Amino acid sequence: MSAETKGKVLEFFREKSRGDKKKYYVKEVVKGLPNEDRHAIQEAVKELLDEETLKYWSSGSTTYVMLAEFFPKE
Amino acid sequence: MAESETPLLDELEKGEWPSFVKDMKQAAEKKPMAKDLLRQLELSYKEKIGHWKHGGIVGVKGYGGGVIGRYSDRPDLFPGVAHFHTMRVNHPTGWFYTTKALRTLCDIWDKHGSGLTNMHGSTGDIILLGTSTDHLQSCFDDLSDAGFDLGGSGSALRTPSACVGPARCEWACIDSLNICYDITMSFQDQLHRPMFPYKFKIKVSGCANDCVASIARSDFSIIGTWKGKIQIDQKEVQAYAASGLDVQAEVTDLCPTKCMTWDEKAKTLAIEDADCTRCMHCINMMPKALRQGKEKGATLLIGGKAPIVQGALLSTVIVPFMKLEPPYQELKDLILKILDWWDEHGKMRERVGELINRVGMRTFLKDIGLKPAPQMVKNPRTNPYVFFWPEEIKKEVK
Ligand code: HEM
Ligand code: HEM
Ligand code: SF4
Ligand code: SF4
Repeated sequence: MSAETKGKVLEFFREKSRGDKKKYYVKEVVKGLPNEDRHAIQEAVKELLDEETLKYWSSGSTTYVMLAEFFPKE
Repeated sequence: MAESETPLLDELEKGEWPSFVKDMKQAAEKKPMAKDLLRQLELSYKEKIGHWKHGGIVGVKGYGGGVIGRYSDRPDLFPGVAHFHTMRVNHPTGWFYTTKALRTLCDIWDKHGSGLTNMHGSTGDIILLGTSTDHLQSCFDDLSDAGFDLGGSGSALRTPSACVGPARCEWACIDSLNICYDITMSFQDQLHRPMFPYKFKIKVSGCANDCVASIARSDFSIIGTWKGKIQIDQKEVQAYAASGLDVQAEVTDLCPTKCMTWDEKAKTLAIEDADCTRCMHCINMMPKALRQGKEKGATLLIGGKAPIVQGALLSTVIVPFMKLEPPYQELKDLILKILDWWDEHGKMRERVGELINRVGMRTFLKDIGLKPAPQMVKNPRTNPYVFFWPEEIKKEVK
C-alpha cells in the first residue's frame, strides 16, 4: 500500500464530507477511486483508522467509516 | 405499599412462564441502570414508540466492532440508561465454561455494566447488556485479562459458532469445535476490522441434524457428513422392531429419498446408499442399529440468512464433500476466496446469498472455480432455457 493511495483516500473523505453526509461505506471509497486497487484502499483505510484520522461508525449491523473530526460527540 | 412505577410491565410477570421483567427487577435491586431500563421500557409500552438511539460507537482501541452503541433519547428522564451499550464477547466454542469462568464474567459485568446478560445471542456470543462509554475500555481490559475477547459486529465476520460436536455427541462427523476455533483464530482481522459489504456468518455442525441451524443462520455452513454405506446391524434393527418401533411407518416411509426398504417377513433392512442424502433421519430413529458410513467429512453450503434487507434464505450446497483435517487449509482458502468475491461484487448491505441470487449460481461457481455437481440442484428446473458460456459454445461447434 502506497502513501499515495492513503493520500487519495483521505482526499476522498475530505472532499465528500463537505456536505451533510459524513459516513461512508468502505465500498463507496472503492467506487469513488476507480483507479486504485480495492485491497490497497482497504489497507489505507485500516492505517488511517489506526492513526485515528478516520473512525468507524456502526449501527450495530452495518459499519461505516468517517473522518474522526466529524464523529458525533456524546 | 407504594404504587408500582411499571404497571404495564407488571402484567408480563403474571402467568406461569419465565418473565424478563422479573429478572430485570431483580437486577434493579442492585443497579439503578436496570431500574431506569424498566422505567424507559414502561414509557415505550405506554407511548408505543421506542426510545433508543443508535450511537455509532464501535468499540475499544484497535477494534471496529464488538460494541453496539445505544443511547436513550430521554436521558433527562432515565439518566441510568443515557448510555446503554452492548458488549459482544466471543463465546468459548461449544459454550463450555467452568463455573469459575462464569463467575468471573459476572463479576466483570457487575463492575462495569448493568449486570444483565443474554446467554447467548443469536450469533452465539455472550451478550453483556448495558454499559456506558467510559467503561468500555476498562471492561474490555478486564475481559482480556480473564482470557476473553470481543466478538464480531457490523460489516464484519461475525463470531463463528459450532455445535457441541465430538465433545458430547456420537454423531459428529467432523471436529466442529476445533474447526470453529481454528476459523476464529485464523480470521481475527476479518472479525475485528469490518471491511465487508455487510455481515458474514460461519457456523459448523457435526452432522445433518444441524444443531446450530447453520443452514438457516449462516452465510457459510459447514455440515458434517459421510461417504459410503450406512453401517447396519440387523440384529439391533430387529430389536427395535421387537420393542415396538414400526420400522416401515417411522423409518423407511419417512426417508426423504425413499432409498430404504424394510422386509417385514425376513426382518431385514436394506439401504440403496447411492440414493441416500445423509439426512440422519434413520440414524436418529435407530442409533443402536445404524451408524454413519466410515469415511467422514463435511458438506459446504452458502447463502443462508434471516430476513433483514431481503427475505430469508437457506444455504445451498457448493461442495458436496470435503475432508476436514487440521490445518483446514483448503477450507480456509475457499472461504477467503468467497469473501473476496463477495467484497468485490456485493452491493452495500447485500449478503452473499442475495448476491448469488442476483448474478446466478453459475457465475458464482465459475468465479470461485467450483465445478457444478448434482448435489447443488435444489429442485427440478422450471425455466426452459439453457445458458452456455460463450467459450462453451465454441467448444461444441466444430
Ligand atoms: C413428436 C414431436 C415432439 C415430442 C414428442 C416432444 C416431446 C417433448 C417433451 C416430452 C418435452 C419435455 C416436457 C417437460 O419437460 O415436461 C419437450 C420439451 C420441449 N420441446 Fe418438444 N417434442 C416434440 C417436438 C418439438 C418441436 C418440433 C419443438 C420445437 C420446434 C419442440 C420444442 C421443445 C422445447 C423448447 C421444450 C422445452 C425444453 C425445456 O424444458 O428445456 N418439441 N418436448
Ligand atoms: C417472436 C417470436 C417469439 C417470442 C417473442 C417468444 C416468446 C416466448 C416467451 C416469452 C416464452 C416464455 C419463456 C419462459 O417461460 O421463461 C416462450 C416459451 C416458448 N416458446 Fe416462444 N417465442 C417466440 C417464438 C417461438 C417459436 C417460433 C416457437 C416454436 C417453433 C416457440 C416455442 C416456444 C416454446 C416451446 C416455449 C417453452 C414453453 C414452455 O416450456 O413452457 N416460440 N416463448
Ligand atoms: S449437529 Fe449432529 S454432531 Fe452436532 S450436536 Fe447435533 S447431532 Fe451432534
Ligand atoms: S440418512 Fe436419510 S436419506 Fe439416508 S437412508 Fe437414512 S433416512 Fe434415508
